[in-house]
Amino acid sequence: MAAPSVKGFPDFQRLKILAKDEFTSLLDQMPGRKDLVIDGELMKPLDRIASVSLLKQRGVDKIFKFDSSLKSMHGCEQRIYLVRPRMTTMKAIADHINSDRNINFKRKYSIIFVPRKLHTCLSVLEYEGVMGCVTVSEFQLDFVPLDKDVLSLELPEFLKSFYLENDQTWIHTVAKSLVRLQALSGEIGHVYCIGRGAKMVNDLMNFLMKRNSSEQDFSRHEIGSLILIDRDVDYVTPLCSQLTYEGLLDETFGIKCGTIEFGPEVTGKQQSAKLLLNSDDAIFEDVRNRHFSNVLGYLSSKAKSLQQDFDKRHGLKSVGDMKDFVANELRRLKEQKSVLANHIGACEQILGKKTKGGFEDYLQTEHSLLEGSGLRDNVNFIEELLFKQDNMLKTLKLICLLSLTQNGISPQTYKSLKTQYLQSHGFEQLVTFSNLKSLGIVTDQETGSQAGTPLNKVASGMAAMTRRSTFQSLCKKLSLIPKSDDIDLKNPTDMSYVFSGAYTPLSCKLVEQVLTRGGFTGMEEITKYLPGGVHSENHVKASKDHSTPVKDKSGKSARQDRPVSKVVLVYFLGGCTYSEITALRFLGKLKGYIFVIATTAIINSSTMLESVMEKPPI
Amino acid sequence: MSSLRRESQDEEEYWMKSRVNKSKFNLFDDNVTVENAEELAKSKKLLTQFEDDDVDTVNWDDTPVSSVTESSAISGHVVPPSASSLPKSASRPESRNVPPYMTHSRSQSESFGVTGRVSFTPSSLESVTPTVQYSKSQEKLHSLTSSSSARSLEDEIPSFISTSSGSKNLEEEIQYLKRALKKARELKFSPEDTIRKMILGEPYSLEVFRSKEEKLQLLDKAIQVHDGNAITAVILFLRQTIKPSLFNLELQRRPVAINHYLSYLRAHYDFKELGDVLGMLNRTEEAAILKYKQAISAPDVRGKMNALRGCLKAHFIHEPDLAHEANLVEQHAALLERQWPIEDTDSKSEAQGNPLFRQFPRKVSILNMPLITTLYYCCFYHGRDAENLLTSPFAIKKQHQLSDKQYVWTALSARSRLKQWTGIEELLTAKGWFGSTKKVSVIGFDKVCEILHRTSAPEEILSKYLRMIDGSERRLNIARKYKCHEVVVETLVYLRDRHELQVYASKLPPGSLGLRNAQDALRSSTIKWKT
Repeated sequence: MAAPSVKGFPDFQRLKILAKDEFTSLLDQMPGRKDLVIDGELMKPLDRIASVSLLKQRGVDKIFKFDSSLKSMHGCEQRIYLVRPRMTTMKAIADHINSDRNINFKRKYSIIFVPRKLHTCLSVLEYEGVMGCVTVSEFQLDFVPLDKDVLSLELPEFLKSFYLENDQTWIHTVAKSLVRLQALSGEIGHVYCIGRGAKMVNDLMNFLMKRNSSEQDFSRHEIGSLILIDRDVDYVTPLCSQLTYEGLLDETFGIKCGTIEFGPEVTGKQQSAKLLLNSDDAIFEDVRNRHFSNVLGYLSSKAKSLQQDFDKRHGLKSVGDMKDFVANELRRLKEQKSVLANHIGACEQILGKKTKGGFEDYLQTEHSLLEGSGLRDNVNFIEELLFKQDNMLKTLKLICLLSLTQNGISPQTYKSLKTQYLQSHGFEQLVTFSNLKSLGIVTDQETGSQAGTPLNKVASGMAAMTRRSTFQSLCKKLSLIPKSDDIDLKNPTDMSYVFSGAYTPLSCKLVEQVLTRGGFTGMEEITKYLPGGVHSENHVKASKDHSTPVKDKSGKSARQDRPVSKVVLVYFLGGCTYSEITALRFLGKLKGYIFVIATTAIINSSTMLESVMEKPPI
Repeated sequence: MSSLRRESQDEEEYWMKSRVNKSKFNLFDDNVTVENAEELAKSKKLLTQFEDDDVDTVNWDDTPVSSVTESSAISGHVVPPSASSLPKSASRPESRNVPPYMTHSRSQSESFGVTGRVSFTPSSLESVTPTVQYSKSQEKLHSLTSSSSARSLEDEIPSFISTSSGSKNLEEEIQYLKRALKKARELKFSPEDTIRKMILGEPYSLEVFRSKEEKLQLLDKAIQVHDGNAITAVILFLRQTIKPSLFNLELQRRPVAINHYLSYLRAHYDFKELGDVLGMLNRTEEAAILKYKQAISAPDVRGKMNALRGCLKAHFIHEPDLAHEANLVEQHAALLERQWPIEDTDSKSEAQGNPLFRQFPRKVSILNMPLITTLYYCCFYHGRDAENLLTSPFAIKKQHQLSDKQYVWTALSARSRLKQWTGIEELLTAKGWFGSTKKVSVIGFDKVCEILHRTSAPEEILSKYLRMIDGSERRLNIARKYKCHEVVVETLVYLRDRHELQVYASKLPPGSLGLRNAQDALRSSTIKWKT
């Protein structure tokens, strides 16, 4: 495929500016001095949108982090709460207000819901008797642009809420984010949905958009296609150990809203360092997508060349040269040096952690689970981790992979592993296993065969059935496990390099297939294994013959080869990992696409499992 | 006849006034004919536009004078139909005792209040009025207005204009009709419209939907468009307005609705109802797990133990599908029942200065620790306790049916940490036939060495167990890994690999035992080296 002339990435700074304007005008609705109480999880996203100086300029006196354990709060006579719509939060706010009332303190309250107010929240306020003294409004902050190609809703609870509790509340937020994005970038002509939630988002998006079919010139729009993909289509990929630099940074230190904090052990200094990780950092941009084996060497060569630049100062002849060096070069070099030092320090930490913890054995087990080989050995390895009371998340990941790749665990092994896990890590984890069963991540092979059980059991059994034999069949049909071992991790030719050539991420492979085939035609043998089914819509054709949008169930679409069709928005419902982002970036380079990745949150194996785990009592 | 005519004119006039006044009549009336249906639709559209504006004027006590004058002016345009043309519908007019709407304003979004987006335009109103037909409620008017005696039309009009107290009865009628019209106006919200408003975040009201069918239409529409917020809102409205048996029945027909209701109950900490609903749905496992979760959230250990026992009895042991889970919950309760007295005794003993705890201070309380941690604790502090004591490791193994592997692994780690080398030997000795003994390890001697190495056992002990590893190649690799030179040298000699031995010897520190052994072996003439 010839590389097309590309316009580049749509400009997402506009989203930031819009959000900032919206937020500013919300602040202005309460003129004068006021306190701002922010939900903890909104701190970082807001940081990306508005600065503290902007807040001050708009009359914000003090900024508090919302603490639901506080029964009352001090501050000035006007207060704004900026919160996620949660009933518990509402209760706490009502407590604050009522405690002020009890001491006859007059204060004005405003609650700004991010991204929308919910009926249940308003009823709590009403029930608590405070509805009359608060004003409620919405701050429709959906996408936080984390980079030029990454948009995140920063809504990690989507996973638990939608897939575990089957609650569709956040579907609206996802659909709305797409509506708002398209208001900026133009309507997206081709929509492909993989999974249940994807279809719902598409339906709701169409409901909200009221597409006017005629006179649309899709070629001038900035995004050509949209691929919506449900996380439950592919739970395997996020559970694999990440091996790219950015992925490892996230797994080791935790990247939050595009920023990372390195402790003293990395910086080598007393204080810790906060780094914004995006494409503006040239050194990071160079290494983020590399396989880890290929990072340290690069960084040290970079360090050498930097040293050479520094050494230039010895060769400076005139005072003018020296002045010039100090004025221009030195600052840049110093900045680069500190960034580089941080990255090298981070690499050392990662290496240290990985070599100490028996990572190689772990990785080997993980890979043989993916391959579906050496089942007995793998179970033994898991048991051994349990005897040792090794990290509970790490062990659970392998149990999940065992179940996902083997279509459930055989009843005897399931019982034995579950019992031992609970004995080693606390019986409270019974709840975790129940959750994982509902999600279909860890299942007992028996579940599928129980006939005549209550409806829900049949349903969950069906889920297990559909996932049964799924993974190995998909691996075969999509050749996810590369046959040759000799993949060049330095100059990769295949997306599987993100997992050392052991496995190609299923989600990314599906994206590739949909794009190369221009839909789901000919993919029946694959799509039948995907829970939730697939759906595609083509709005471009409709614009040509000026008729109402034709729903194209067969997936046949006339693909245009204008540049816009090369810009693809891939939207992960339930979160995606940095490895998947990296794999898509690589695919883009390989096939000439420009991928923009949108997600409800960026996750990794730990954050994903933690969100559905029962917390240990201590 | 004349009086009748007068009366009918009278009442028509009244009707026109009130109609124009409130610009409304019952849309859902049977008497709305097909011809005018279209017009009605048009007028409905127009009327809705100023709905918000005159909401404020509808009032129980005040007479909206301005609108009365306006209506009287308009009334002139109307061609009164003859009395005989009035439809005589059998259907009962609206009851006067209609309760005020919007009693519970839960769904009326307070934040927005009334939004007067579209302005009222009299011209458009006028164009509508002549086409409007009578509704069945006119019939009722006969009886109602008859009491106002047979006054002439001329008498009537000024009284209307001049004063609001001119006719108490009429005024009442106006109020009544206003209410009826208001209801009619509200009825224009179709379930679809309402759901759309909810999704778009516009103000809406659910209270206008009174029939069960309409409420269910609302619910189905919300489910159809996949908006969780709307689904939950409608479910809660349903719960409030229909009886539980109906509510449960309709809920059960809609799995999506059930999920949202459960999700709401969870977020609302309404565990009682949550458990009941799960029970009703026969989702016994979920219900049991929910009860378990509640039980373990008890703040103190004693309460937790009781709650666990109670929950086990009520929700687990009678469910054949939950036999395995029942066993695990039983274990949990049993573990707490063991930890509680141990903690009690040991913390006292520690406070009294027991040398064992002084030598190895307890870092944290054993309460709420996992079973394996408890086993380790008991192996560590109470390794020799008799089996009839709570602290006995062997009793723990027995009660919780721990595998030999689990037991050996933990006991070995504890004994190695305590440097009880004979204890380790006992652990790894099995009685063979005829009283002979031999060394066996259920976890494999390679793992034994791993544990010894991790707990920094001396080389002498490590070497002893390294030698028990089967397979010389494997033994060699593991010995190399733990840098047990003696065993490496021995194994290389055993393998008769002179070259490797030379290489290895060259790396050994001078004067070490390993090096001496290696040199001895290399010098030895009795070894037949591999060629």
